[in-house]
Amino acid sequence: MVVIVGASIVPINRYYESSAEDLAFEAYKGLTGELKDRPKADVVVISSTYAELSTNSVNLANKIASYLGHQGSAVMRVEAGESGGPAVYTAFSLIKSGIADSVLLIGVEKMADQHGKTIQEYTARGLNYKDYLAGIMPVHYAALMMKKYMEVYKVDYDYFVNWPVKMHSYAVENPMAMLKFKVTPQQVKDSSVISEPIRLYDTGARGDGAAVVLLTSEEVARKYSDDLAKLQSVKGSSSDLEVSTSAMAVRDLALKLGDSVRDYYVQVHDSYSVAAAIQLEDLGLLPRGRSLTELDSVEVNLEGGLKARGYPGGATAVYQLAEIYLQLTQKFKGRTTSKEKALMISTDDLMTVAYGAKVIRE
Amino acid sequence: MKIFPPQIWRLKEELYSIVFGKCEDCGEIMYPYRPVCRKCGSMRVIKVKSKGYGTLIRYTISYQHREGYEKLSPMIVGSVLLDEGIEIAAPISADPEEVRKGMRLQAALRKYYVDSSNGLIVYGIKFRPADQD
Ligand SMILES: [Zn+2]
Repeated sequence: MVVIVGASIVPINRYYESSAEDLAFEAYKGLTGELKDRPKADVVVISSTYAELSTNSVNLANKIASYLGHQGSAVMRVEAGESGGPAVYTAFSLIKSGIADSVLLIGVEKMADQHGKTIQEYTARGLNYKDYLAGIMPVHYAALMMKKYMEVYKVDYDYFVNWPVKMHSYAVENPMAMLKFKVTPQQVKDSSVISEPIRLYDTGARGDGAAVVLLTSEEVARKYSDDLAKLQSVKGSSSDLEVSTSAMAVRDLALKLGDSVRDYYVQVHDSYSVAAAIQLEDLGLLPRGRSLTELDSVEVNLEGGLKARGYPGGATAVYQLAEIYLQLTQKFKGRTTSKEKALMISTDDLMTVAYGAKVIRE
Repeated sequence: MKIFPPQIWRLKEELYSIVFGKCEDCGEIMYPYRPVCRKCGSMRVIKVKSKGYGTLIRYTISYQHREGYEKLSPMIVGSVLLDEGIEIAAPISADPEEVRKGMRLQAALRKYYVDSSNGLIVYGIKFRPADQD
């Protein structure tokens, strides 16, 4: 059994005074304050997508592990497609297989040292090289997906406005959120056009962040804490990039995850409003073409999502796992779920890589 | 962005034409080309060059651009249904005023990017309004 024994996050923001190591330390300090014993880690798994580009350095895993005093641990950085999902998968597998008794999972990303244009440059490198050379950005693909969705389901822009309005209403209650303010439908509709029909409020809010989660085997869990959650399963899938109203990787992930997601508190990766709609529909949680008008019927992204809690690149999935642990152990300070089971979905910007993790209150 | 000349040289076929893969065993069509079939795993995937004509089925006009792409702003990116029956996403070289759904397009070689550090110019395919026949 894989147990989450503690988790801590720093608010997503612009930290001009802090390096990736400093942010990881802030989150780590929060974790150690909650535990009965000083965390020992057989393995330190780091999730960071843009480390080489944004920090101008390599070997981030050992730098962070060493900064946090974890000399002697096996260290590694794991990434695929800016979600952090693969690092969760790795941490889970290490314990489930018996290779490790404890894994310190750290997500960290520095997005705010650079100009917004430079961040667009980094994220465009996730596309195939030919598209990248042509000047194409992920938001162009997202805009084409949104247009196709509008055509297929005969919905207009107002339909998508529901997502940012809902996410911001949750973020107001979350002290760790990056954008803690409400927005009105009119404000969303008046926000600047990035690539029509996508406006500013349809996109995730990128920022710096760090989150840590300590995972252990059942044998050592109670040494650290009595507030436990069980990481029941982690699955993953991948696909080609397609302009579609559905994402093959997410559909395949839903099959691998099995049973109905209706009983779960769900977090999706809302890099764009249309991505949220596609994931909610591909998971079978809400009906196709109507998901964003039925948001009141489900508990989704109560922390405010990428849209308003913030979008710290490769650290995002570790935030999700940490928040879900805090939700299920009733330590989350914000809008809380009534459910005892949670499912986090982690994808890249355009949903070509998808991971899902199920967590249950112990 | 810094361009490494060998990376552009290797990519010449894909930059200067539209190449897709066709599996000779199961018929699967793949864009961009890759040597192994995603459906049946066969390595008998042949390269097929599109004739470069198609129809614009949807597009986005973008008001943000990356560093070095200022001259392209506003940029148009479209879903193009090639006459061969394949849908691809590609940059559209047209005036935002004249672009419309359903318009006929043809592939043309256009400037993509100039690397100011070494003067290297990258050319590639964009779609422009097709000549009337
Ligand atoms: Zn085949």
